[in-house]
This record gives sequence, C-alpha cells and structure tokens, in this order.
Amino acid sequence: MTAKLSRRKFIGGALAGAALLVAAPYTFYQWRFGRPTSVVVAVLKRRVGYLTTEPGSFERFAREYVEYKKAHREQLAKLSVVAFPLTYLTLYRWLPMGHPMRRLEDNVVTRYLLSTDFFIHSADESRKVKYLSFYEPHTAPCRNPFANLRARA
Amino acid sequence: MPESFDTVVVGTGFASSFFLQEYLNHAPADARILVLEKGRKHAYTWKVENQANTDVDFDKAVINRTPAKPWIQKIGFGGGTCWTGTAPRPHPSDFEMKTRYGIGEDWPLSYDDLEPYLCEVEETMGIGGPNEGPFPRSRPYPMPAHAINGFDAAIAAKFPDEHIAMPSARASSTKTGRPQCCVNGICSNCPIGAKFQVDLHMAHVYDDERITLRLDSSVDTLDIESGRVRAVHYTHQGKGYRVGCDLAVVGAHAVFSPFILLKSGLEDRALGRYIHEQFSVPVQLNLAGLDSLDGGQQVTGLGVMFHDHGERAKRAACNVESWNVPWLRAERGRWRQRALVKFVFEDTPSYDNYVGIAPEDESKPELYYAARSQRTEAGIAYVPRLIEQLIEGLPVEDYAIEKHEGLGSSAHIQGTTRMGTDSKESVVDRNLVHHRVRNLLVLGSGAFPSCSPANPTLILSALSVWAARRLMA
Repeated sequence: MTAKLSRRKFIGGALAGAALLVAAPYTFYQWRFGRPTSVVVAVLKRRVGYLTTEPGSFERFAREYVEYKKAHREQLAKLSVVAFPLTYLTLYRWLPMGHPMRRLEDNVVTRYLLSTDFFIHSADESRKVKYLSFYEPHTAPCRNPFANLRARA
Repeated sequence: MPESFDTVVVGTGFASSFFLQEYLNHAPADARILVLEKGRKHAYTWKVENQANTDVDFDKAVINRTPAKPWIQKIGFGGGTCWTGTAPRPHPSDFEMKTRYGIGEDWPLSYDDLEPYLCEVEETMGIGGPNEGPFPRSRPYPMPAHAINGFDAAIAAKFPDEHIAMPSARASSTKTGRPQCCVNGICSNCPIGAKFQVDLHMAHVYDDERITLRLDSSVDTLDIESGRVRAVHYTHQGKGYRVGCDLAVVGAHAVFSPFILLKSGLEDRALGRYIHEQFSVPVQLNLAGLDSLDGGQQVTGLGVMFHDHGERAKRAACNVESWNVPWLRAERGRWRQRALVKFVFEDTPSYDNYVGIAPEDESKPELYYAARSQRTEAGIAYVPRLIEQLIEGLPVEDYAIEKHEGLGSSAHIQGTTRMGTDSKESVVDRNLVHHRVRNLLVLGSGAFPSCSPANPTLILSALSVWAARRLMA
C-alpha cells in the first residue's frame, strides 16, 4: 500500500528542500570561510542599529574588537554561521545568564558603546553617536563614563 | 672571610617592606641590613604594557599535587602585587574562633592589640573608607570613602551599618599623593598608579643607605646552630653565597617562607601545615529598573551581614563584595541595570593541607590541598539562600550563581607558619619570633592561625609593624 502524497505536502517538502539546498552551502561556507567580524557587526545591528551612527563605525569597531580578542578569533569566525539570523533575532532573553552567546552580546555592546560618546551625552538616542576610539582601559585608562569620583567626606 | 650583616631580610613584599620601614626607625645609623629578593625589578611601564607583575612563573616554581586547587602568587620586587587594593578590616571575632565557636585556634593577640597598627598601615597606604560601620576604630580613615553604586545604596538601605563602602587602597583622593582611582577595572597593575603598592610607593625604603638590596637572589637555607640563625645561604645567577647575620627575617610568602625553614632543618609540627585561603562565589544579577555601576572604584561595597551569624561553627562566615566594573547589559535602556556580587568565605585550616619539600626536586616546594573544610562547603552550598536573603525586597529581575571548574584561588595564601602560644601547634609566637630559634622572625600571612573572610594584606602589614616595634622595644 502506498501513501498518497497531497499537493500541500509536496509543496511544503519542495520548499523545505530548496531552503536546505540554499542553507547548507551557506552554513558550510560561513563555517569554513566566515569572517570573525561579521558576528560582531550582526550583534551591533540588532542591538544598537536604531541609533544614528557614523557610516562604517560598526565595521571599524568589529575589526578592532577581533584584533583585541585575538585569542578568540577562530571562535568568532565560526559564529559567522549565525551572523545573518542574529541580525534579526536573538535567543538572548531565553538563554541563562552567563551563557557564552549572552556574554558575547553583552561584551560587544559594552565595548562598542564605551568606544563612543553615547554615555558621555547621557545615552541620548536622538543624537548622532560618534565613534571615539576602541575602549581599552590599559591604553586609555580613565574613560569609564559612569565613574563617580565624588568621594564621600 | 664570609660577608656578614646585622640583619638579613628575605623578600620585598608587603610583609618585609612594612617591617623594614618600622625597623629602620629604630635601627642604629651604622646598621647593616641585607635584603634578598628571589624575583627581579621591572619598570612599571613594563608591567602595564605586559599586564604582568613579574616574569617568574609561580606555577613552575612549585609542584602542585592537587591541580584542582590552584594557588596564585607573584615573585618579584614588591612581592604580592597581585593585590587589587581591597582592604577591609578583619572582625574582632576572627581572632577568637576557638573561644567563640570552638573552631581551630585563637590568635595569640586580639583585634584590640592589632587595631592601632591597622590604623598606622591604613595611614601609610592612604586607605579610603567609611568611619561608620561594624569595625571598631580608634581613629578615622585617613581618606574619604569612595562613592558606592546604585545597587550598594539599595543594599545599604536594607542592611544599615552592615553594607558599607569598601575600604580601599585605590586612591579616593589626590591627597594620598597618587592619582585618584578612575574605575578602569585594571587593579593588579593600575595604569595610572592610583593603587598603593610596594614597588611604586614603598620603594624608597630600599634606598636607605643601611640597606643592601640583592635581586634575583634565591634563599636556599639558613644555618641554624644552638637555636640561632648564624648565616643565610642564597643563590644568585647560579652561584651560591653564604652571609653571616645576627638576625634573620623571612618574609617570603606563605609558600616559600615555610619551604626555606623546612630546608633549613626545622621540624616544627605545624611548619608548612594548614595552608588555606578564602573561596569566593560570584553571582551576576539583572536589576529591575535600578541603574548601577556608578561607584567610585572597582569593588564598591562590603557586606558583613552574613559574617557573625549564629551557625558560624557549622557554616563558614562570608563577606559580600559588590563589584563595579562597566559590564553592561545588551538591552536598550537597561544598560546599567546590572550587578555582580561575590560571597567570600573563610576556610578552616586543616593539618592535612601543606607545603613541603618535593622529594623528586628538592629545589621546589610541593603543595597539597586535600579538600575544603566542611564548614566552607556548607557555606558555599548555602549561597542560594544567602542571595535570596540579600535581594529580598530589592529590585532584582533575575540572577545566576557562577560555577567554576576546580576550586579556584583568591591569591590569599595563608597559615603555613602559624602564630600561637603552643610550640606544638604553631611555628612563631605572637611577635612572629620562632618559638625555638629566637633570632628568626617569620612574617606574612603564613602567620594567620585562622582565616578571616577579609583580605590579608592590611592584616599582615599591621603584623609586620607590630613585630618590628616589639623586636626593637
């Protein structure tokens, strides 16, 4: 006895197959040859893409971030697999605190925003955000915008 | 004829430096003092650029029998510059663990005995801290307290007098003669030198013309005859030397101090035993509508609400540290609604944990740590309850207790040359003089008979001043 394939199932199957045909080489290509900067840019687009920023500042930051995180370059490159979907959606809220993906998003956003004048201008989202320089306290030690230097008498 | 000095001091860390500073106040103008330091002296710019304090690898200098329990220490001029400047006081009860809780040993001196010396060291270090709070003080802190952050303020409102601004050697004012801390979060080698440390702020002690400083000089043994140290053997660039002395002061940290004494043939039952340190459990928190991370230093808050609790005999006491480094939250408008606290637990020193001489390579100490005490394990297992007690009623959205592989290290090695009144149970007396070799002092946190949750640097520095003054009285 043979099961009869409905038209709906046929179309669904064909679409899934086509998606797989596209996704598989994409995933393989990204996994094999993906750039480590792409996941950083994706996080920024998703997280702070609504801010008015200077053209190219995400890419510039991503290059500097990858250089700073030299030891994790390969892991970042592998994560380029999820760069495209990460631009539009994230599991951040459903992941446990301390999960590596959540840590990555926190870390990228922290360093990016501290590399700009965003907090210097009280996190004003209506202003154009200016990229200053990569936030690296070893070389530029006193740039924490939240530091409260008014010691109590 | 071999060289001879009045005094030989081993090590240049906090313990030796505070001892020497006080000793020089009393020593005659023609005193001859030799200081031997196993490590080298690096320019501070080298340290900042390399994000390191030393080029000596401590892990290779010892043999660790229990790799799940790492130990952190730095060997170099200025000694334990892994310290980050956090300088809370111990509690009076920390000195009386046997009397109050039936645990371990009491210290042979009390909080009140040490208190004036804590004040002196705080003065030298320019500690900023709050004058209100749980620790009895005979004089105010020399510098004002750093600003606390938003989360600290919420905790302090819930636990008045039990959550205070963390006392700290990270300068809260330029009146210390140092730049004010700007909360860059890099405290081991502060790029602006805001934190008090020996290599920057006590190096002048070694400029005294009575002192001869020899770096890269590793002490091997002491010649001990008829209950007195007669000479010190050391190696410099592969060549062995012997120098005579009337007084030997060993301040080579809680691993190498007992190692040198063991190699010198001393066989005290407690020598090298009871190695211990604090254990900390970090907890990350997301806050609900409360902005934080706006304090004046890296560790802004000190909570003592879980210190002298009623079950301390069974469950270790802890301090609560509140951290303040800008680790933001990647959520729009909630950037600063985040906190990190650490529960820092005491351990109960155990005879089973020790520093010894490695049989396969006698040039190295071996370190063995069987296990944390049951009290410490009970304290750590209790963290979920403690965090609930801490945050109940506070605007906290969720939290996560961080778990580490292995046992971790607080870089606070203690207990291996413990002080006491009974020579069978301790190595040195209350003045840090060896029980039988009366011209031998052993400085540092090795002298601690019990483990306060408080960081050790302030305490061991005060003990050095105490020892020097009583020696010269």
